Amino acid sequence: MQCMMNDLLQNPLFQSALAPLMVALVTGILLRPLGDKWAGLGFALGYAVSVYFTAGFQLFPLTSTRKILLIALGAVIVGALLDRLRYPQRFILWALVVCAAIAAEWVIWPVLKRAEGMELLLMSLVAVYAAWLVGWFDGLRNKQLAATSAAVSLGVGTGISAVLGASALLGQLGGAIGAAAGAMIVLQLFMSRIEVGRSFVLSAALLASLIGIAAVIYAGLPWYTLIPLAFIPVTARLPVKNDWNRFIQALVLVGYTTVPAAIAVLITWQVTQTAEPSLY
Amino acid sequence: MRKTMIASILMSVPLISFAAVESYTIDPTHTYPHFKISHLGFSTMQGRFNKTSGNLTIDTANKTGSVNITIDATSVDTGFKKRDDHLRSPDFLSAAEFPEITYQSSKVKINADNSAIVEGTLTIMGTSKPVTLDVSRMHCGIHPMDPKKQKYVCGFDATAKIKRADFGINYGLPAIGDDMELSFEVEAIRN
Repeated sequence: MQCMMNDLLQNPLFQSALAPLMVALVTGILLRPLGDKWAGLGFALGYAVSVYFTAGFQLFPLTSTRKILLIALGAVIVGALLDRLRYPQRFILWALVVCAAIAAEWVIWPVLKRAEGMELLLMSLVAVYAAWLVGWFDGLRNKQLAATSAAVSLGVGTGISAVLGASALLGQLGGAIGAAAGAMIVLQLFMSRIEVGRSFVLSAALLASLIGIAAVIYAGLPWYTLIPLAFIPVTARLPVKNDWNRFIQALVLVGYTTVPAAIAVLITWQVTQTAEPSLY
Repeated sequence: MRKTMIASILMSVPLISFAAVESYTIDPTHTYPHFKISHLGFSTMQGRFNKTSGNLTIDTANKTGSVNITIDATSVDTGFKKRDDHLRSPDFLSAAEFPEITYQSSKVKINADNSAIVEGTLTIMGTSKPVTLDVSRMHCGIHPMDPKKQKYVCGFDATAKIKRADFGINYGLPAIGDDMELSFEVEAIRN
């Protein structure tokens, strides 16, 4: 029995799909009575469980992966605060975009500080990816189904691309975004007045973008895989008729956002497929 | 006269002591750290790092010395590129982020039979842990192939055991082994 439990706890699918999905779902339900936007914190708690299983809660030495998780924790707190404070929205948007770019540079700093000339310039450009995703996701914060659908596709797309082309750890951490965000879709479908808020969109966008950047810089994922992934929040803004049933709306939005995610996975698959046998 | 003699004796002491300590530079073409690790329990996989640099000192009079070795983490080589790329990724060594693995000795004791015990600190991925090297055989002498017969070389073989989880390398545990055997073939040329 204990052996079976150990096998389950060590299974990547449990760690990065089932556990974050279930925990996000349960905590989302439990937090819902506190207010419309509290359910969004279920995403953070579900994701935290996956982090516990895959990377652990150890903070030092401060590796790039731990920096990403620390930034995500900060994003949840800042997002939750911004949801409750009234600042000019345009100012908040630009502040978040700049902070996302700085966060990206911090994650890749160990490589950036050794780079010179054109290499330095090109590496710095990856910050645009984080800024872009945070900007677009912030625009989705009041479009509940669109935001969660985009987060599911972005998480799954980033996760599978990272597993195929770079690193299993980054892949698992990417996939867990999709699973925890999936729980938010389920909540939106079955419970009334669920708002994911900035704590969700900011942390999901930052996590996915920084994991993608880390996969490119530290693990050899082709940089152009990020291009289709960047279009996921754009496709989430494609029209969905308001008179459609919410299930249909969710299905269509997931369909829209899955297309760029699938393109990213396909590109990675093509690039990384070789005649060599599996490394396992 | 007596003062001069005492001064001369006192001055010569550190010189004698200094002369006994010889410094060497690691020969990267004859120095390779190797590792062994269980592959899913089926077999023991072996690999090595192809680029190493550093220096060492040997104090023959006091039977001690020091070792400083820097290993290029990106040079990991198991004979299969796809696996080497994975070993360089954040799952294992995160070599782009932590390009150097270092070993710095803190205490060296050379025994009468030319074996030695080296205590020191191994740093992998920013995590430092004490690791003791067991040096089985030390041999120093003029390199026989040097036409000028001036190249003085010291070499030794050393082994150590570590747990990779101690250094934060947790991927694949416990299927891919935690226990790692390290072995070093080291040659250094006297400066």
